[in-house]
Amino acid sequence: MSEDLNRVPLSKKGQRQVTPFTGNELLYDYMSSMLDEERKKAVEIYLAASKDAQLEFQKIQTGLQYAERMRQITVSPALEQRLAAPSSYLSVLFKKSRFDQWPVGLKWGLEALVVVFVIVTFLTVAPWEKIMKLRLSMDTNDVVLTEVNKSSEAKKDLQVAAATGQAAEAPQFVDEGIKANNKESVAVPPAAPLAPVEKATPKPLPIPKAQGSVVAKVTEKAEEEESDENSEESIKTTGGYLYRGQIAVTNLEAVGPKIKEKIIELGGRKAGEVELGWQKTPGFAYFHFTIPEAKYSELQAFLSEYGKAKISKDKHPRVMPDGIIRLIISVEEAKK
Amino acid sequence: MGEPEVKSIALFFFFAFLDDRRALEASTQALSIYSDKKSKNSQFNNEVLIVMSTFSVWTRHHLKLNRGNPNVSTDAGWMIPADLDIGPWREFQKLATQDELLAVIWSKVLEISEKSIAQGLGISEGTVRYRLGRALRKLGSMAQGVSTKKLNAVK
Repeated sequence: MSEDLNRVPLSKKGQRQVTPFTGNELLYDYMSSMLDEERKKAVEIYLAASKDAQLEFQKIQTGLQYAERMRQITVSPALEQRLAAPSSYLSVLFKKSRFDQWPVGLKWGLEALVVVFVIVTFLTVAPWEKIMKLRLSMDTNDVVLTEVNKSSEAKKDLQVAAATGQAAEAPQFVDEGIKANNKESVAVPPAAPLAPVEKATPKPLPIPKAQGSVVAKVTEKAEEEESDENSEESIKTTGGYLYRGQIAVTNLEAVGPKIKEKIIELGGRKAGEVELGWQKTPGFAYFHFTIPEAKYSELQAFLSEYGKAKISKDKHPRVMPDGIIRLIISVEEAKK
Repeated sequence: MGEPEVKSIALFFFFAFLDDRRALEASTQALSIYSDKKSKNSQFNNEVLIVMSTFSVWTRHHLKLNRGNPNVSTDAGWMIPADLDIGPWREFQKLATQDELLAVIWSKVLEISEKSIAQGLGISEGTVRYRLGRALRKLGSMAQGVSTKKLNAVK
């Protein structure tokens, strides 16, 4: 009785029929012999009756055959060995330590620690002194050029000091517009020229017949040279200024010392090699000096008492300190 | 780890990815997982372990996979018979669902039992068979298409 209840109800013909959907889904199981006898018979009946089912069955068979053919593909022993062997020490380490299973926080912490360690090691080991020196030397190319100038000037000063033995009176500026032969021909003050310069050109200067004309020539020449120098050097660098002027006075012998005194009173200082108010020739005095710029107008006013001073402001490569100006003033005996 | 396991895992990824570089990378990872699981429990069935490890790595990689653009060469170490046409497989790999593709590889290529597959995936054997039925139907239609084309070409 109980067996009758458990049985699946059959059709009128006493057969267990399947629908097309179920039949199609059971095709693979039928092929794999996974169905019970009743089901097997039912699928066979369905398969015999349905063309679609036959096509589907054929597809499964072809697929199965093709998949079996795919088994011919194998792996080379080399590849097999390569896969079987651990790739590197690090991978082995990771595998052993089960790094993948570590908590994320711990992983990040460890990574941060490694990065910090690398940075600290680099900062400790890096040759900072060399790097700093390298950087400084790269940055200060222009400064080095200036230093070279200074040192050459200092050398020159030292040479002059050694030659004259008067370091305190060493000239800071070259007397522009005075030729070496001129210096030699006239009585030179003790502080002035270097020994080798004296030996250089021992040419006697022709005795001037008309003093005024000689002075004029000399100053003209000096001016030409100066202007040449200016034009050449101004192309390179034009930084500072030089005040150049001349004045004709009556009784130079008396006026010359007064001008010198006034310059000193105004805070002026000798700038060239020769002394202030150096008498180049009996009718010509040479003043090369520096004074505070604030006193310049006072000096002009003073000079105007003795004659008409023509002072021009020329460009010059030498840059003077702020508030200080350099002047070269030629004072000559006025023509009668 | 034995040779058959290494071969099975390597071949699984060959058929699943059809990409040398990715297949080798995934194989290494799957072998690592396999060894790890085996070391934890040596009683584990090898077939089940293969299914578990390969499925685990597959899920990591399959989203990055560009199916339909195979990149396979024999230089990588795959030994493909000259008369074997992998065209239908290429089509199948491109069009089949993930379940169908993996089921065919495990069951029909690597010959892993349906029981082990079901155990490895945590599903019933009926489900595995259902997937296989559908997969083989797809693969068969692709293989038939190729053979029909070949016949037409010969005619």
